[in-house]
Parts: sequence; C-alpha cells; structure tokens
Amino acid sequence: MTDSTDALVKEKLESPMSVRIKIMWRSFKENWKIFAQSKIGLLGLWIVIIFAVAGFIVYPILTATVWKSTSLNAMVSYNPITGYDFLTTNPAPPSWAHLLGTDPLGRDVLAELLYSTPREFMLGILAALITVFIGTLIGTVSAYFGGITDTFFMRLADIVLLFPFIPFLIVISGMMQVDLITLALIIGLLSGFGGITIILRSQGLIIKSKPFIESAKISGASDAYIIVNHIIPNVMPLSFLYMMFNVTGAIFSEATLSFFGLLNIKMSWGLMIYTADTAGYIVGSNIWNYWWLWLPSGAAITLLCGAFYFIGRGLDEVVNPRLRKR
Amino acid sequence: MSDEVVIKVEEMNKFFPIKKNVFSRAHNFLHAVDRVNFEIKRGKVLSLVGESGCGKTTTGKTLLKLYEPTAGKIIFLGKDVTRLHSTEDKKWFHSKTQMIFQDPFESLNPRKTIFDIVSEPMNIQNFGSLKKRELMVMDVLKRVGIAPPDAFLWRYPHELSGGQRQRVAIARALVMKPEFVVADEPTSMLDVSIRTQVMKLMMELIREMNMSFLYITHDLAVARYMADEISVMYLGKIVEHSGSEEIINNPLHPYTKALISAVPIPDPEFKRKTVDIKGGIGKPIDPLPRCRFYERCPFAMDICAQKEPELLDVGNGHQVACFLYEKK
Amino acid sequence: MITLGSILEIKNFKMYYNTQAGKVKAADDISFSLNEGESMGLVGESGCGKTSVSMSIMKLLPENAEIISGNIYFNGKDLVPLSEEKMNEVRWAGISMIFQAAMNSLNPVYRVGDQIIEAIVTHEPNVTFEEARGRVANLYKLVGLDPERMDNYPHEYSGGMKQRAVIAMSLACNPKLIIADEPTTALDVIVQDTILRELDKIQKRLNMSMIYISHDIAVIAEVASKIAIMYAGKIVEMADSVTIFKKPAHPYTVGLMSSFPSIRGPKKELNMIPGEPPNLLNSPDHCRFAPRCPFATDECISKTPPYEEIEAGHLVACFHPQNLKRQVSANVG
Repeated sequence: MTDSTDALVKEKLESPMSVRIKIMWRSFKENWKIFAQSKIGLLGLWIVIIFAVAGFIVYPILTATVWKSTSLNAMVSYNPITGYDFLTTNPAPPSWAHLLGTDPLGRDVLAELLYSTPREFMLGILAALITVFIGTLIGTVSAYFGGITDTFFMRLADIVLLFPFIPFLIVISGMMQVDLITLALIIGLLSGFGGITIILRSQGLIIKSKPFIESAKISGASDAYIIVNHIIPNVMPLSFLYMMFNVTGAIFSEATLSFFGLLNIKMSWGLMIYTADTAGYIVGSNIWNYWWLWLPSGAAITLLCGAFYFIGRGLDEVVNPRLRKR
Repeated sequence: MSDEVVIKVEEMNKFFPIKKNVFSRAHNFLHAVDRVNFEIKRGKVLSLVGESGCGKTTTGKTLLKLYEPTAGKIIFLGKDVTRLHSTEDKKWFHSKTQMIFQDPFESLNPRKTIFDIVSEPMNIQNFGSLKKRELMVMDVLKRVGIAPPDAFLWRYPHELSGGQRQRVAIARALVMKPEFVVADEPTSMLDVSIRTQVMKLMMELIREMNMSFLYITHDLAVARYMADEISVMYLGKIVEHSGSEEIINNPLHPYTKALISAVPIPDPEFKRKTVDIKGGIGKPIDPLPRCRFYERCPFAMDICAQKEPELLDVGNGHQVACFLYEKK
Repeated sequence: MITLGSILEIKNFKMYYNTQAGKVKAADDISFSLNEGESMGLVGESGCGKTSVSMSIMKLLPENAEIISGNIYFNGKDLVPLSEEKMNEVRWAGISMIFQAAMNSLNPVYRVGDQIIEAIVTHEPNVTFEEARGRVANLYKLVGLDPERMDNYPHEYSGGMKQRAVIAMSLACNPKLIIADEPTTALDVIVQDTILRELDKIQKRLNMSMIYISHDIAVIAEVASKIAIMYAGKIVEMADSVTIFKKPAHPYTVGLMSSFPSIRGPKKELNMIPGEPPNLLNSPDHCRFAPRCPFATDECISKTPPYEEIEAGHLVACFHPQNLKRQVSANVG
C-alpha cells in the first residue's frame, strides 16, 4: 500500500487530476481484493457478465450474420417480435435451426431471450439508479436536518413501505400505457421513497454525529456543502449496495407485470411466459412437454436477479468491514 | 505581547430543551452552560477543566457557533458575534476560528485524502488559487511534523497512525492562521509518548502564531502545562478561575481541591490526601438555585442550599464561587 | 524451578498472532513471577502487547493466536497445555479478570445482582441461590455498594457504580489472582481515585495477588508494588515501583517518566520520546526501542539485548542501562 503511494508522490502537485484518478484506481483495486474473496459475489459478477455479453455483443452479431434474413431462408425469420418459422409446426422443440425451439407464435425463443436481455438490464439499472438517487438525497437530507423534514419523509416512507406495490402497478397499468421507461420510473420512485430512505437516513445519522461534520461547520461550510461533500460520500457505498438489491426488485416486478400482460412492451422475459401461458401451454402435463416455452426465460429471470443479489452480498463485505473474514 | 482581548464571553448560557418528540414543547432544560464569563487575550491559553458532562465541550462549541447561545454575549475581536446574520460576517468569523477535536480517528473524514482534509477550510472559504492552497497545505504539514509532506498528501487517514492523524487535524485547524482555536481534549486519546510530542508541538505553534487558545481538558496536569489561566467548571458553572500555577498550588474551591488531590502522582512514595467528596456528577436539569456542588461538598453550609454563590475575586485575580470565601 | 510462594510464574512465554501480513509478535519472551498477595503493574502504550499477555494468562485468545513456547505456572500448574474445560475451572475461581471498558461488560437485560449470582452458581454448583445472594450482598458491601441496589438493572447504575459491580463480580468466586485491564480508563478523576483506593484496600484485606494493566504510569504507581514496563511485545524493565520511579534504567522508562506533566512540584519542561511506537508485525531481532533511543549504538541494531538483573530484583533489557543516579538526573534534566 505504502509503495504505491510513494510512487504517486513523484507526480505530486503537477496535475492533481491525474493523481486523483490514480488514487481512485488504487482504492478500487483494494476494494476489488476484498470483493474477490467473496465467492458468491464473483459468481454473481460472472453471471451478469455472461448475460451482458450475450445481450449486448452476441445478439447483434447473430442478427447480423446467422440470423440475417436472406433469400435462402426467407421462410424463417429470427425477428424476436415479428418473426415466424413457416417450416415447422409451432411451437417447435429445440433443433439446430432453433436452439431453444420456437414459441406458439413461431418466434425463435433464443432470439427473444437475447433481445430482451439489454432491456432487462436497462430497466433494472434505471429503476435502481432512480431509487438510489432519491433514497440517498432524501435519506441524507432528513438525517442532516432532522425535525419536521425528517418526520415528514419518514412517515412518507412508512406509507410507501406499507403500500401494496403490485396491485398499485396493476391499477396504474390499467390507467395508462406503461412501457419499460415508465415502469422504471414508477418502480424507482416508489422504492426510492420507501425502505432505502430509512436505511440511508440511519447511516446518515451516524455520519452526521462525527466530529468532521462539526469541523466543516466551524470552517463555515454551508448545509449543502456538508451534505454533498461529507455525508453523501460516506453513505455512497451503502447506496451502491442497495442499488444492486434494487435491480433485482425491478426485474422481478417487470416479470410479474408482464406475466399478467399488463405492460405495453413488445418483448420481455416475463412476456415470453405470458405468451406461453395464454396459448395454454403452461397447463397440466403441457408444462413438461413444452418446457422450452417457459424454462429459458424463467431461468434467465432467476439467474439475473440472483446474480445482482449475489453481487450485493459480495459488496456487503466491502462495505461492512465487520462481515469480513480475517 | 499585546493585551488585546481576542474573545470575551459575557453571561453566556446554553440550555438544551428536553423534548419528548418534535412537536411537543419542552418543559425541562439541561443547563449545560450557565452564566459563564471569561476572556482570552492574544497569545494566551485558557484551560477549561472539569469532569465529563460539566459543560466544557458545550462552552467551546457554543463559542464557535456550533450552538446558538441561549443568552449572553460573545465578543470576538471587539465585534459582537453572538448572532451572525450577514454572509460576510459569517465568513469573517469562520475564517478566524477553528477547533481541534479529541478523537483523531473520528475527526477526519475517512473518504478524503490528507490534502482534501487540510485544504478544506480554504476550499469552503474560496481562499486563494489551487496552487496557493497546495503550497499552504505543504507548508502547514511540514510545520506540524508530517514529513515529507508530499508523501502524505494523497494518503487516506486510515493509513496514518493516531499521532500523525492528530497532527493532520492540527494542520487543518491552523492552515488559515486562525486567531482563536478551541482544542477539545486533543491529547487524551493518544499514547503517552505521542501525547507529549503533540502537547509540545501545540505550545510551539501557539507561541509562533500568537494564537489564543481555549484548551478543554479533564486533566489538571495537562492544563497546568498548556495554559496560562485555568477555569474549573462544575455542572455548567465556572467555580474557580485563576492563573494556572495559582490554581494548582493554592486551590480554594472544595471541588478544585478534590480534583487536584484525585490526580494520581507518578511517585510511589508520595501518599496523597484522600478525596472526601461523595457520589458522582449528576446532570444539571432545571437545577435549584443553590450551589451545584452542595450535595457532594464536605464543607456545605446552610447558605449553600439557599442561593447560588457568585464568582468573586478574592485577590490577585483569583476568582472563586464559594460561600467559604465570600466574607473576606 | 518454581519459586516458593509465587502464585503466577511466566517463563519465556511467546505468543504470536498469525495474520495475512505476517506474524504479530504480541508477547515475545515474557518472563515474570508474582508472589501471593503481591500487586504488580504492567505498563505500556497501546499495542505493546500488555492486553495480549493478560489474555494469554486467562487463555482467552482469538483463533489466530499461537503460543510458540513458554510456560505459565499458576499455583504450580502449567496453564499452557490445559484443556478448555480444565481452564474453565481456573477462570473465575483461580484467576479472574476486570476487563477494559468494564462498564460495558454487564448485560443490560439482567439485574446486576443476578449476573453475579449466576457467576457464583455456575462455578460452584453446590452453592444454593440464597447462599449466593448472601455472598453477593457481602461483596457489595466490600466494594462500597449498597446491597439494596442488587436488584437494579445496569442502566440504573452510574459509571463508577458499574465499575464497582464489575469488581464485585470478579471477586465472586474468591480468586487468588485478579487481572485488572485498564480498570479506570473511562472514569473521571475523582471516581478513578475512589475505585483505585477501593481496589487497593480489597487486595490488601483479602491478600490477593493483582496484576494491573495500564498505559498510565501514575495510576500504576498508586497501587502496584512491582512494575513491569512493556515495549513492543517485550518486558524492557521490571523492578519494585520505587526503583522504577527513582532509578529507571531503560531509556524508554526514563523517557516515560519525564514525559508526564505533573501537578506536583515546580512546572518543568517535558522531555519527549521522538518517533512512534513500532508496529509489532514482523518485529526485528534487535532492540525494538533502538530507533527512538538517544543512547542507541550499533550493538543495539544488531542484537537483542539480554534481559538481565542489573541489581537485586531489577531486570532490564538494554545494552546501555542508565542505572546510575547521577546519569539519570543528567538525562532527565
């Protein structure tokens, strides 16, 4: 640790910006070392990477090459939304042409799966970012100011926590067209005002009582300066941790709503199950005969949600030194 | 050395309401600081001595505007700073006052580098260019014995030892050359050998920079070493005030006497007098108008239970609040 | 080999902590003995290994601690090879301990008296509840607490009272030896003074042996008849307390003595020890005080100084002991 700092010192004052970047890189490396000791965290990270590669890299390559519509295979389209395979009876079980079979509408299940992956990521991460942004801001503000502000936001959090989440989303989706971004906004707003605020507020209260806050006040720091420069950086690791757990929550909510067919989206993992269900393939013995209709998407939901949760568990060891094994 | 009074406190009170919840009105008050008077001249050190819970830290923090005084006046460099309204006044006051805290592990933000920590006062005050701040940080770090300063600039507090952290905290407090500094038990968390180093460093800096210090401690021996004058506090009140040697050698108030005789002496052959005061320190919640030391005092008289003794001069600037000395 | 009348004898005891970064030599070749009814002080700065020594005596060591060599004889019996069950018999009844931050060692949800009764009943199963209660009442009187407060909860006690209750608890099973680890550190001076006097009185009355562990040499001077100074995992000097204060021989002790501000006598300049206490991680095999020592020579940074008797009962580990009175006064100034 000392050696790397001494190396940094050589550049000392010439360009603070580059020193800062190096410091960030150094603390990232230190934290990575701790994270890497958590097997479950690494597993989660690997699953997320595999999904990301599949969704963001493999799918575009496949559509540009193998799945490209040419005159040779005009009868078979791999478009995940409008595609149809005229050569088989749909749904068709896995084959070389369709590695995971086709769905009741003749679309390639693998294409559907891969097409949805970036959208699931986007939804999960957008919702989690909104949650964490709101939660961090409100949590730290109510911790710092206390009094009426605090009471107001904490009672609001209580109400949001007790709010029947899924039924509410069902009602909303009945009232308006809910697409992925709207959904991310709704989920983000609702969970942002809820539990995470309470957690970050209690963390903020601990930070607020530290002498370095008083030290800044004595130097004449404004409330905004203290919140931005002292309280938020210290609750940030915890925010980041809860962000991971929130990704899980958002993907789950999307799957649930899609399963009921309540969302205005063209394709998603939940929708894949919904399609199979409404066509009557997830009933009785059909479940096992048409496993490829629901198992890949179901597994994808479980794996990706689990993966973000595992990363959260791994981060927990970085954030809470007490959990660390010696 | 000039006789200019840097900070003067007149009849300062700080009461904390004891509320049940945000909306209820407080009916009881904790009298943390009760009608306190003192002044500190330029280049002088006043030590506030007392047990934990006696209000010495609250006094220090109220002086630096962390708390609003309930009543009384604070005059800093001839200007009434009890209530600061305008932005310029606040800026002026906060750039000239600083505080050093007890726990060097808690007083430095763990997520900031040493450079960020030490330059923060300048940062907040928008003082000078980045280059100038860097030079000043290097300068002050060198002065407090963090050497070589550039090797520490980009480290985090957790990479430093307790003694080094306290030096950084001192550097941070002194970087803008304040006129008045409150030091709250700055050495009580440090190891014996480091403690002496830090005490000596502070003495040198006080002389060199001609600062006024309010040195808060529970340790009379440290107060004697550091301070020109000592005020002994008990449950929110100053019970005795004098020059430090005078207090140590000729304590008058029964509480001061008890404090002095309770300090362990590093000499196995020396047998101290027994402390004959009873019980422990309480909390001054809506105290009765009588001497606060009444219950524990071995010399308590009837009058002590009837009214509060005033802090009166008994000669040579030695002030004591005790009826035993009032007749003189 | 065991000295007659000694209750505790530690011989060449070494205990290291294995960490990822290497071995932390927390107790490195510690030897001392304690007679029955004697009180000893173990003085050192934080991280010098003094608490590790006391935990080794109690065998309350964390998993990564490893006893390398040495013996701890208590009442003639070696504690090092003892099994956990056998050790449990020794704890409380033989050796008991007043922990650092003792006020937090009371369980907040049980009545204080009941906690002490439980300690008695677990170690002496044939004692009835009523007998135990009677004993606790006596202990309360002994430590200066009102026996009526037995049925109160810890939060109803003040800091000083909790400390007294913890002392009463440590006395519950009539131990022969009590280890008090920083017994008064968190207390105010006046309370500290009364507690120290109480401890001293009890120790003399019950003729117990006592080990006081503290960073504060002045506190130790009040209560201990023998003092061992620890530095970086080693005892660097040991003698009776008067000798330690009047004729300190190790340069570290000399430095410590003159670095304390005192309220007695004329105000004097403080001497300071330069530098910082070393990290115990992978300690070098030479005098560990050498980098901070004004008398250090080449010898000091190449060999470990032997721990020898320089006069009767005065042991020092230093190549340049400052044992002459003239020399000491010259250095202390």
